[in-house]
Amino acid sequence: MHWDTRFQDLLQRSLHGELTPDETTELRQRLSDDPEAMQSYLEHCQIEAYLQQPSDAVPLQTVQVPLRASFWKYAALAAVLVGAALVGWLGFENRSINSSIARVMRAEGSGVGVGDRLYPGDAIRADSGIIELAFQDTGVHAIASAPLHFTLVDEMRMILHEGEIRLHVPPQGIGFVVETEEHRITDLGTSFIVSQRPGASRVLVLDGEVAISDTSGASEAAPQHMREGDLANFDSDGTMHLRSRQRSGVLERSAAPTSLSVQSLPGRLYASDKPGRNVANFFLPVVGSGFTDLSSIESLASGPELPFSGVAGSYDQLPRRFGPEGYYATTGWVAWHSGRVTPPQAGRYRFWGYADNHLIAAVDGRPVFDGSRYDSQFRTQLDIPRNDHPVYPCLNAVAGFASGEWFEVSEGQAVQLDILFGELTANQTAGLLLIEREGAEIDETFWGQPQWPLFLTHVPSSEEVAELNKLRTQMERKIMGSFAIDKDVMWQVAE
Amino acid sequence: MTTIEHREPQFERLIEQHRAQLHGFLLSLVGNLADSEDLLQQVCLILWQKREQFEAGSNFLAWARQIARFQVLNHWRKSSNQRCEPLLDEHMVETVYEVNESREQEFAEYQGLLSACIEQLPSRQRGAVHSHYMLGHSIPQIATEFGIKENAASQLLFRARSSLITCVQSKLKKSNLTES
Repeated sequence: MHWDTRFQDLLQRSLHGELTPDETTELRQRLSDDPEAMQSYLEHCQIEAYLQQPSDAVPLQTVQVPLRASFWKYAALAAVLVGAALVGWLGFENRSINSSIARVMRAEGSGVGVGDRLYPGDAIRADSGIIELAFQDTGVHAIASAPLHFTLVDEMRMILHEGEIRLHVPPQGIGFVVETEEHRITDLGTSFIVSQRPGASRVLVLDGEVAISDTSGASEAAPQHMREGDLANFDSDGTMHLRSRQRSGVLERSAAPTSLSVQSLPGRLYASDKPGRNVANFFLPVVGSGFTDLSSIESLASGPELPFSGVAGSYDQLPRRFGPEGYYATTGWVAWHSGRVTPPQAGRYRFWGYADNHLIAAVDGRPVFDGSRYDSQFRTQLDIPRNDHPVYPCLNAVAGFASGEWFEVSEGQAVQLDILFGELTANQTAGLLLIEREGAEIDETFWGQPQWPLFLTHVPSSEEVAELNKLRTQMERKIMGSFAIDKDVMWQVAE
Repeated sequence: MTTIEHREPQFERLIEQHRAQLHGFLLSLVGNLADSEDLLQQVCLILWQKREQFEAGSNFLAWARQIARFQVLNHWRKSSNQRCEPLLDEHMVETVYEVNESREQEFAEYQGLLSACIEQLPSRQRGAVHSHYMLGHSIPQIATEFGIKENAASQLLFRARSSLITCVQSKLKKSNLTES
């Protein structure tokens, strides 16, 4: 039910005790006249009460996020920062470094004054009030509320001993580090809150992305990522619990790809139900044989029929929805779509896209596209020709969008098409598969990236289009590159 | 003597277990958080004082709601001379009471479904929920955090709660379908 803003406003203000007598009468009238409004009011009160419970009592499952062995584009950045951190420590508590690094912009009820300059090694304590700092070189803004104790290490780094700090980090400040007792929080742009209380700390990402790593340096594990809306709690032993997590940062489409009644490229999701070799390895001989020898995948389990709705967005739930029973997550999965298709018109075509982790396409048994990530066996073991376009950024790989070889299809000619898409380990799966016809006019995003159409084998329903549009906008905003949905370029599944 | 020793921790658990739902009921009756929290404290205290009257095995919430309702009426009587006028009239109080009675089981299940639903919220709504309910930030603070006006922050929270309602209801429907 969509409520008008007046009702929203009245209800919110009522909860917070801000209604005037006239407004109380107005809300009473509304609740009395409109049973649906009353219903909504009761639901809101119940949910509000549950949310109001002390957060320790809220039965939120805390999810322990497994460390990923490999980590994408910010791993290099984080490594550089570890080095920088050591240099920072040498200058700590040494006021002889003369250039100030930050300036106090606002100070309420604390010992510092507006305009005061702060130097490397300066520590600030406050029992009450608010302090706002601006870091000079990077433009990082930090707003800290008491009780508070923090130390400025250098222009890119501070240590929070106690209190809560909200940071806004502009692009030139990316890489700014906040340390708590146990963690190093590296901003990957643009806004987050860190709170440190005895024995526990919390991080809430308001916008953009942060990386969290171990301060002790004892662990070589790659940092963990948090994204917009994520809240993490840290135990006294330093264990991180993500309250929730939007996995690959973009939408996972909800509609089971498409209804089974619509004809699309048939497929199945293959996985293993026990530990052992990674699933993608089983597919290497299949690809090598031009998709004719399937003996190597006989031992794999497969799920129900998986309709093809294009490859676009996140796929974290896919193995649970379409995988075999007893799907064993750590050995990964591969979705294989296969069938004969005819092009919308004759011409030379090539695929564009990328995936975390596996994505290849073969025409008449010959692989013509590899958009897999660097850690995919398809990328390392199969020698599929590929062009990388780092200038077109993508979600999860420095290589950017990949494009494949041109292949030619004549009018009405059906070709055998095989698409393999999958995940190496357990989560954070994302991908995009687009198609370009030579000579076709392609729109560009605001950032100058061509929006090749999504490769589809059926005309999407209006629900699908709505979801795809949402994803498209999201991707354009996040990575500057997205895709087009063009109903005139559908490939038809041949009878 | 032994029975009482056994009974008290159990009774405390009963209060804890139903505290949030009881709070929801009180909040529905008075319409604002501050009063509902005061009343919740009073009601929990009375429940504890009257614990001997509670028959083990009977419906705890039904008993607690009666006491809570009585406390709310008392609260209104006491404050009738003051500026605050009750949000609900007698007829509506009856509706709240009936709905909470008939949907007791359903509301109880909301609690368990909430965490998964928070996880599924769009990122801004999720951020606002985390900021407001977990970090305890006020609406003006959220407005600054998200760079929006206060009424937009308030609406963001309303929409987040609406999404949570839709989500818990659809999960409930699904689990009922599976069971039947």
